[in-house]
Amino acid sequence: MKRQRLDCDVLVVGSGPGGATTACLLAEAGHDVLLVEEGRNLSLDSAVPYSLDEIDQKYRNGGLTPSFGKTNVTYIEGRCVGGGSEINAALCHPPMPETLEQWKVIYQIDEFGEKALAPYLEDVFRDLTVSFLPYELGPASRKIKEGADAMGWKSEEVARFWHYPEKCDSHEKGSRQSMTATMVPRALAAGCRLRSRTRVRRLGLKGHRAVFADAVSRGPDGTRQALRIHFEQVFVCGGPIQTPTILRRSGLKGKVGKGLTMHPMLRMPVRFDEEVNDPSYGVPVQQVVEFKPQLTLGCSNASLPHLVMWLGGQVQDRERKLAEWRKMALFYVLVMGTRRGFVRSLPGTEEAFAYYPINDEDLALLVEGLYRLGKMLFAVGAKEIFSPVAGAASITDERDLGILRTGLPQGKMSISTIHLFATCPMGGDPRRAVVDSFGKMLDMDNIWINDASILPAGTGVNPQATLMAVARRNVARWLAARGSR
Amino acid sequence: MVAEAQGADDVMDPEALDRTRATMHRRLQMMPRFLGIPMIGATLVFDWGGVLASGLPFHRQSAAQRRKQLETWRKSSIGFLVNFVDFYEKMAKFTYFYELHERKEQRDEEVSG
Repeated sequence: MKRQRLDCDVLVVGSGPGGATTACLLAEAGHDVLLVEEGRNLSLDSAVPYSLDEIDQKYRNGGLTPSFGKTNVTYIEGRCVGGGSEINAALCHPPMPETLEQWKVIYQIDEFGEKALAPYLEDVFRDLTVSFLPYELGPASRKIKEGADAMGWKSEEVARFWHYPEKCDSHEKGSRQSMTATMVPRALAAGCRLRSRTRVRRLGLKGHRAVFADAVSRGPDGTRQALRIHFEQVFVCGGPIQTPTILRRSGLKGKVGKGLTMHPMLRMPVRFDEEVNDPSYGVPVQQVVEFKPQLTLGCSNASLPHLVMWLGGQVQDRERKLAEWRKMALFYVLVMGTRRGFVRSLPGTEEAFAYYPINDEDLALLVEGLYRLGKMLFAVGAKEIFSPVAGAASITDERDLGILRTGLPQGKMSISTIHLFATCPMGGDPRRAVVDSFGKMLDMDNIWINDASILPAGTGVNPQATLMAVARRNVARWLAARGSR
Repeated sequence: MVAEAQGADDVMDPEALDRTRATMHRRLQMMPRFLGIPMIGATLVFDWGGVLASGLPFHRQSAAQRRKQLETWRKSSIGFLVNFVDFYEKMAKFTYFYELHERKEQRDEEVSG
């Protein structure tokens, strides 16, 4: 395969929230930027949200990638222009001030904390028109709010990266403010070049500099084209799994890929006597925040196929239940994982291998969260809670909730996550840091990392706002050192 | 096969079942190789493991026999066997009901369009 040469001043690898932000700000400052994305360049309406078609088009591996450990945790990565921002719930939760202050101290991050990050968060909120609902809470969100009130717990509506037109009375009239709707068009308007369907395999190094990236481009008809991209500076923004995989394949090992942590999540369908599942309200936005950052209780999108996945029993039973699917919602428990795993590139393949040893404490917190969620929902009229354990009976009496607390068999729970962190952590701690306080790779002259892999721990909240603010901060520092063009 | 095992033959929509089979085959091919190859191997073991219990491979068993084999693996103390069945069941259920329910709604919208 003959190799094609491309040149740029700044190569940005990956177009998720970190990469798209980086490419946009650099291009707007006048730099010659090439943004490379492994996935396809698809519009937001290329598929119905959360549909099988969307999973096939925009999720890596069709949404089925496990991390290994005593209990496997399935993780989800976006693989398309815009990355995870095209497929996530678009919930915008600012970082908790105490989390930022802890990171500053524990991970020795310079010029960090709530005040330092505030202006960058404001920019994120403005650029992505972060909005609360312009209409009342949907029925599933109301159940969370009323349930939390009944238990004396704090809950709040989480804003979304969403644009609502004036006089908006339905979710369907708004639009997701993903990267393809915001930062990518801005980047392109500023002269950034975008190359999709192009996978960077490795960086070519010369001493302490990266000098090129080897990549493969796939055409719509499957034809492959080898590329060598020459650059002056490179920002690797492939996310906590792909970024360390690329770097390790390039020979940059050491601490790269260690420190993987995540927000493990368990879901369970719950049935009520009244309708609680109304898709016209979009993703439920109310969360119980009483136990944050360690534990969050909330509600997911739940189309009929999603609900079926989590219901036990035979098709006939399910048909009876599913005749009333609008009376069911899919609630979740999310915890801030305390363990650390790792990511490796598999030799001879393009694939990443993730190991995350979810431990007894994390499992105990998940289980406790399920119990609290169950108690809360019974307090507001839940009739049946479907256990997240494969094959277990559903719970129809609050007094039976204790079965959740007695410990669930580890291997029989379906734990998943979309929030991954810390495989190339930032900071000044030589035992842990892969990049400095502003994303520059240690011991390398021209490699920066600017995605969630540099966040040194789980945020305890939906992480997109945090990672975009940190990415903006790091680009601002980079530009201050080099100026605009 | 798993989808069929979940219900009596007469309650399954044949068109949706066909599309489910095709989709599941495609999803297996989308898996990373380090996972997909062992999964295909495990699937073959599952299929021919049915011979030990019922004298027939899974794909030739009746719906009742298939449900029994699924139940045996589901209740196993070996985590991998439980995960295997759980994986296929979830994928089959999601795909079948998506094909049955969501695609039908999309087609109805197109017709009324």
